[in-house]
Amino acid sequence: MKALYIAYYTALRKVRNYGNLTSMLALPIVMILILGAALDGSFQIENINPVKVILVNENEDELLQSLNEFLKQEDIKEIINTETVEDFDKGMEKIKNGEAFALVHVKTDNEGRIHVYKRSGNIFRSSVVQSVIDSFNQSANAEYAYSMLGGNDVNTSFYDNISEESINPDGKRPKALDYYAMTMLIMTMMYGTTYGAFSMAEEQFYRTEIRLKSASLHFHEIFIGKVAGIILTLVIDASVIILFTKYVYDVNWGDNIPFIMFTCITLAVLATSLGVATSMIIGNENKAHALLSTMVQVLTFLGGGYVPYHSMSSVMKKLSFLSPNYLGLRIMLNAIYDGSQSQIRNYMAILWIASLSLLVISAFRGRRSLA
Amino acid sequence: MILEVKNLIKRYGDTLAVDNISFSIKEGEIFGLLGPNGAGKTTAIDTVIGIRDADKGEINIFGKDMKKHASEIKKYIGIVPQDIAIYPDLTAYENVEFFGRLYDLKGSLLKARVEEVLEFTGLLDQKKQFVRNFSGGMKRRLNIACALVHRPKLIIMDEPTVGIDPQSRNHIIESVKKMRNEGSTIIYTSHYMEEVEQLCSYIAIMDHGKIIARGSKEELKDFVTVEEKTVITLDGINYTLVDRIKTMDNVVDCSVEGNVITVISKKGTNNLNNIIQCIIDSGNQIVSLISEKPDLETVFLTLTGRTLRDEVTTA
Repeated sequence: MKALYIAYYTALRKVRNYGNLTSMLALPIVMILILGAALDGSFQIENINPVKVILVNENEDELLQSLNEFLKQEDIKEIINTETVEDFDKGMEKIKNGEAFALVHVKTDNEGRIHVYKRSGNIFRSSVVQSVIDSFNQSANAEYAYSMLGGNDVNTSFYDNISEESINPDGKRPKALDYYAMTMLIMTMMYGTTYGAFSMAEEQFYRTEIRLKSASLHFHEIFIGKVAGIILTLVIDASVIILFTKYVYDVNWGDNIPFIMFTCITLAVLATSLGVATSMIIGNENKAHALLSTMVQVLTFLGGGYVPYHSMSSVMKKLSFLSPNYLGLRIMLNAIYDGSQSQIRNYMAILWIASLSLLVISAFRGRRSLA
Repeated sequence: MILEVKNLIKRYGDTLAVDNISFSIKEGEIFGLLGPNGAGKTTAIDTVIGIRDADKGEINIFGKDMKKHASEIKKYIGIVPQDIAIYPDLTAYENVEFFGRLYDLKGSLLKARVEEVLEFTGLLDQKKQFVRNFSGGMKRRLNIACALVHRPKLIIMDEPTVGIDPQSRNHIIESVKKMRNEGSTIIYTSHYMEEVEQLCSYIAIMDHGKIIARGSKEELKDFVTVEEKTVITLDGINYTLVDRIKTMDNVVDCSVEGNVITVISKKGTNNLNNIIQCIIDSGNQIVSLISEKPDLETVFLTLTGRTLRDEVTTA
């Protein structure tokens, strides 16, 4: 119960600190508007007409025929228009003449490699062709693995195991404002690390630590109260940002706002525990604050907070996985645009495991230094 | 006894902050802990109430061992820390309310207690104001209110009047007197000897982590072996008068500087009337007269060779 009081009064003091409030609310709200307006072009995509692809059908190779069959599926035909030619050179000629965007050639060696030749200059079309070929490879590999394991069910479909992610059946997609509302909200939650860094130290700063210690309180009550107070503050901040952007900027937060709030709570727990742990490990809240302020910006950048994820280089995309911002963004995108449920579950689990681990470390460090 | 401390030792590395001190406090007593800054008063207090761990010694509060029953004992202790320990972004009411809740107060009882201590400290009219707008004196008073909200059996006031205006200081002194009259048991630490003299029934003087003297005010003054000094400014000097004073009973010395005569008498002889009568008889007019009696400052000076104030400025 006493932890709840500590949490309530901690949140009350944070909310009344106008300096903090300005940076935690005004900054993201302005940034959403600026980034949303300035980078709107990055989110405009051209009308998706099927990409014309040439398939070199030069023999009766089993892999080639499987690929041919795969490309003729109704789903695939919606995005790829396949024309078969019997000669590689004839196909290349069509590419050079601009009659098709890509050429797919299955080498008839033992390795059964599929070569894709694409015209340069259109990243989107290129990624469509590559994704389809990758999907075929995955299903072929699965089929091969199934047969090696002794599977013989002729009705087994290997094309169904291809997961579809973030493609909304209604054709909805995030506008720049929607995207940056999410990334800036996540950045605000991650700035909770700085609250976390000062959570214990502020009692020393205000000299109130002596009152808490001289009262009949256990360390865990103080610790839980302080951490919960900061999480509560961040959740209040998140609510204001979501409501403001929903009704003023008309940002699409999807139909399941409670789940978006739960994602915010998850990120708030992570940020607070990361802040507390960093402060306790470094042993100096000011140094921890400086480090975390910089780190939040780096994590925001890596997590697609400024440059949209789909515009990043492949190296940057790999680095994005290190950023909790990226995980939070994927959870929100999947939730709002009917994406992968498994990705939501996996990323959510990663965030909670990280948060709880950091909290345990902080609690042990804190007990030793404050008890 | 409300509190008994035996052979308490507290070290910080190689520094012996509290050096084997023992003392006890009776119920209803105001126990003064006097000493310059850095004497070890705050460390001693923090160790006694369990904020810092003692390296050695026994502490019994309300008849219970502090080590074994800290959680239970702490419920009945109220501390007014030396530093102002309140939240600037809360109102006066919210500050007291918060600390009251930490002592399990709630509902109408909590409300009544908060109002009571705010009234006691003269802050009831400012209860809705944010503390960040308070003067230093008001913050000091609120610092006291936060410690009293749960009606502690033992109140510890660590330098409660440091750095405030005379009006707020008087208010705090009067509040402590009121608590004394209501039978509160208080430990009052200060380096202002006037406050300790005025408030405390029993006094311990600390220096370099040790208690160097203890007793009632009168008992402590008995430590002082110096004489009583009377400084008289006259309208003119009559050297016959000086000779007459020198030959008076109990006068140790009489010196002259300009129109000022300084008379040193034996301690406790109350020679002032005789000296004044002698001056009147000689036909001189007294312009001013200062009679200096030993105080706790003198006691400290006698015991340590330093003054409390000097220690304060050099600390």
